[in-house]
Amino acid sequence: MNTYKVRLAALFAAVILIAGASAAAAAGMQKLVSVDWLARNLKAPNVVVLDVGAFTQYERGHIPGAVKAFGPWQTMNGEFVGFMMPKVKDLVRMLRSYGVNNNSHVILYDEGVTAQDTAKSARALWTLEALGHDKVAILDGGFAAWKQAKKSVSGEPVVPSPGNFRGRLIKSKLATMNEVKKALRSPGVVFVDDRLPEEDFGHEKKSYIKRFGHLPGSRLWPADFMTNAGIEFSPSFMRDMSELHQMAKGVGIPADKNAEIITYSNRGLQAAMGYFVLHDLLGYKNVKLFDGSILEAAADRSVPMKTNGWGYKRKM
Amino acid sequence: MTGPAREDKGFFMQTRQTRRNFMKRNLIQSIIIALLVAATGLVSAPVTAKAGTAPLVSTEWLAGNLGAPGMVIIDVRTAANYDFGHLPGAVSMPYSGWEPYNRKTRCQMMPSVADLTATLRSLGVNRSSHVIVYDAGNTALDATQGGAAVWILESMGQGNVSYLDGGFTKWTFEGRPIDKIKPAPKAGDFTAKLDPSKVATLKDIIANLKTKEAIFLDDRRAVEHFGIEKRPDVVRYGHIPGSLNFPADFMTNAGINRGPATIRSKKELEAMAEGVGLPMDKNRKIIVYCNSAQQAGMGYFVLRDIMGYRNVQAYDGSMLEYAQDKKLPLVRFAWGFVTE
Amino acid sequence: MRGRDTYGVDKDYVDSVHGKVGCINCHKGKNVSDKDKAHEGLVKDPSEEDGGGVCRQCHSDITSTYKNAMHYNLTGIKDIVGTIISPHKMQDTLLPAAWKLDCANCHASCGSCHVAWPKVAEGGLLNRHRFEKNPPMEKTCYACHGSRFAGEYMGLLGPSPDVHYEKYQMVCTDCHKGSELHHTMPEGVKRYYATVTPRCEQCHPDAVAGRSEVAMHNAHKKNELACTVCHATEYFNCTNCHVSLDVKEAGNIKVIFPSDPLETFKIGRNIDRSPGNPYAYNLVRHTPMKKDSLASLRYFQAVLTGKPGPKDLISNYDALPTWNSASIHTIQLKTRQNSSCNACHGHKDLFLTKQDLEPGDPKANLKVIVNKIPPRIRK
Repeated sequence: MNTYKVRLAALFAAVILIAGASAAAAAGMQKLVSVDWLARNLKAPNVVVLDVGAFTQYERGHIPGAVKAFGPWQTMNGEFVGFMMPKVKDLVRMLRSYGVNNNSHVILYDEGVTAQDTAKSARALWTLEALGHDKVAILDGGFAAWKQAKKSVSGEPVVPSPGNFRGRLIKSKLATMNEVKKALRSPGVVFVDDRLPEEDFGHEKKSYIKRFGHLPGSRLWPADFMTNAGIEFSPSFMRDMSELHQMAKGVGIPADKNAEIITYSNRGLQAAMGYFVLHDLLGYKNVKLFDGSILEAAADRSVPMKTNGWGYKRKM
Repeated sequence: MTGPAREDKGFFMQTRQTRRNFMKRNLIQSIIIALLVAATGLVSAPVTAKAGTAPLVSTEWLAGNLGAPGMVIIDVRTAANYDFGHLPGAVSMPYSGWEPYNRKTRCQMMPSVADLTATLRSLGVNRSSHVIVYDAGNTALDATQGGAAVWILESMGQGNVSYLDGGFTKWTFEGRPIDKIKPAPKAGDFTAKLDPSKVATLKDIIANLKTKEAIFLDDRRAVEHFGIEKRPDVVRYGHIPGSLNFPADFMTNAGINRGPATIRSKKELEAMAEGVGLPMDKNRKIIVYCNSAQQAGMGYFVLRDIMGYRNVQAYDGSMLEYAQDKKLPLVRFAWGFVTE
Repeated sequence: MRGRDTYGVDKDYVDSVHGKVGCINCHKGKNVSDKDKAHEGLVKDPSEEDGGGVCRQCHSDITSTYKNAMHYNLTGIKDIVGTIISPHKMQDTLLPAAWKLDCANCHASCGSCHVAWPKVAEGGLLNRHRFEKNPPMEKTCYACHGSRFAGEYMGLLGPSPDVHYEKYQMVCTDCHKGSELHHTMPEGVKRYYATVTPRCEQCHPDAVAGRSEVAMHNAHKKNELACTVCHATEYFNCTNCHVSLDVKEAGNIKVIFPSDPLETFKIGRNIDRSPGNPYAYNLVRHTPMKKDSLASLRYFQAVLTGKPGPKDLISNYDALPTWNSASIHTIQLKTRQNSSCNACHGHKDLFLTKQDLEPGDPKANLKVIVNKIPPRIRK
């Protein structure tokens, strides 16, 4: 019985692998570029490389031609809620100062050591896509992978000529607190918690979060699970498509690529990883990022939160 | 509640006299039972070491009962920690001795009946002793050592055992006395006897994969359950198909936002049991496992002794044993409870 | 986490000014090929002794002040301990041992910032033994000043990061110069009231009351309000992350276990005005201590030395407050409390008042509380 099940599982996995690979060919490849690809395309027309890592690292060495793009990609909004998407006009001004044009192929990279580093690139990618700019990709493995491959590193600060970027907010990329409140009442919307299991369960919480727990009914897919960071000292490469597909199924993401999905985390950083993997790599068409995330939701007592349990549990 | 054969006739068939007698006896029996139930409600604050064994004793209670006749306090911390200072009258049995590495099976298993008998007798444990187990009480991992020691004692026939809530950390935080005196107890007369209803073997696991009679409960951290991480000496990633995940880490108050590793309240534990998908029916059979049975031992202690699940076994070999056989199924990159 | 150099030495270091000095001249040991003989007398941190060790030979201008600097031997903090246990002496208690084991871990020699990671962060070289004049803050400052400063500054502990980090990418040394870090702490000055600290006016001279274009600045007297009173956001306190003992009565000790860290915003009076901190009102952080906080030391002392320590260790408890002047690193231009006059005026919750104190708090706290809250402004 076991071998039958194993064979069936293997067949199933093979099908997913093929499906995943073709999805990757269609969408994943463009959104995730390898070190070799970037090395070959550094000087390609319209390529703009942005270093979104800690600014002290840039001074010590960056990918040749990369612009220091520390941000702010998130900032306190008018209601004093922190880590929200900045105003469109501020973002446009910032991106122009980085030399981003309307036709730029933007490649984002971070330190590449931990999944949290990659989340920074994911957040910048989401920001650009939310402004209507889809020609954007993340360097797989970040600066750690670049150095591991012994590519050349520069210390020269890059001062780009101002770009002509224009952008407008694509509302369907961003879920506001009000939209989330409505969505929590509708059974069709799938919420994905991208935080650690301990935080989802309500056992731990970050001290700046006002309440423990998760939004009722959420699936749990920690951003940390999405990369190979730290496994035998590996840089933060995204996991294989087959593994990501397997995980999507294993955490309860519906198979329907049109499913309405809202990702969230503590402050919208890990939620951007969830967005990137679900939308850009796995091809889910209808993924939103809850900008305020738990930082905003937990402070609002009218939002239901559940603790002492997993968001999605089976009835015995 | 059983009664005499007369009951089978049916209540209304009996004569008035027999009915009055029946009711009187039932009344007395129900009063006795009510008292016993009330007594178990007071289990968290026992008056003496002998009046019913509380699974959990507080530092306050122990401080007032140090040296009670028949009490044996076992310190499961390392020998070095014990030597630095320990509870007055405590004897040392470091946790590494409770689940020694078994070369044949390449896992950590509980000691043989003979070995445990010899060790506990040398520590002065008698058949009638009330054993109090304590650990460092600082982290969740510390608590699993004490909890697993309780499981092993109960599985080997020493049912009169209590766990010191909060361990050495809480004790010293409260300024209670410690010393360096090593007791020299008289040899005890305890004899270990394995109770298989508390310990699951690999055969039990394989059988249950087919019958699904018991619920598999994975007490490891969620990252191990999901198959992202594994202990280096565990051969494969993932969990036994169908397992629920109730990390032992969640069962105590230790962690970033909280204090020493005291066991969480029964109310919180019940909420968590429901939240991980465990049934509310306390008769349902549960097999708890982890990597080496350390966390599972604590899971057994919490589920059975504190929450009242009657039918709990901890799988001694746990993942160290199970993962070795590549033919046995493991699920990776999925939560055990997702239904799709 | 990988990425930490342990003992690799880069070739270009060997050719540098410091490298040319030669290993043995600083680290001692012997120039022989037998490993054990070569390592005899090896000194791990040659900069440790007396404020600079071997560095004194060339950098005596710095080491002469550094040997009594707060970073070197925690002058300014020992004073606090000495004050509250007075008239007991530290030598009569377990405090010197506890000091060495715990407090002094944040001690920094020249090498622990300029060559290696600090000891408390488990050492290791910063950059292949290169001497860094301005080492990266993540590898030095953050190691000791992690949660309350680095965390605040980067926005990990509150509603937002500091604008100097977020928008202007400034590092610690952009404000905290070497001259501040290397200078001698004057005798008897306590850590919270250091005499040399950066002041906002040094870079923002036009913010000073009376000279400013901002009406709100001019509405307040010079040196009345610390800048952070208006420009910082909520911040952390030590309370509730660290266990405290609550002595109900003799023999009845209640243990207060950590719960959620207390995030507050409290304006209090500055009780120790100095040139570095001249303001009448500044933000205060709760640095809690109960009279019995060190009770367990007594028992440990009994076990380890055979003689219990003094019964009333914190005998001068009332001398120092448990709400102390705080330099909050969550500065933003616009904050909730500066959005309008009446967003601050009349808001009792923003100020440290008698209601915030607990029974059994030191009497010195009474000097910190604000007795008269500025009233609402009526047009």
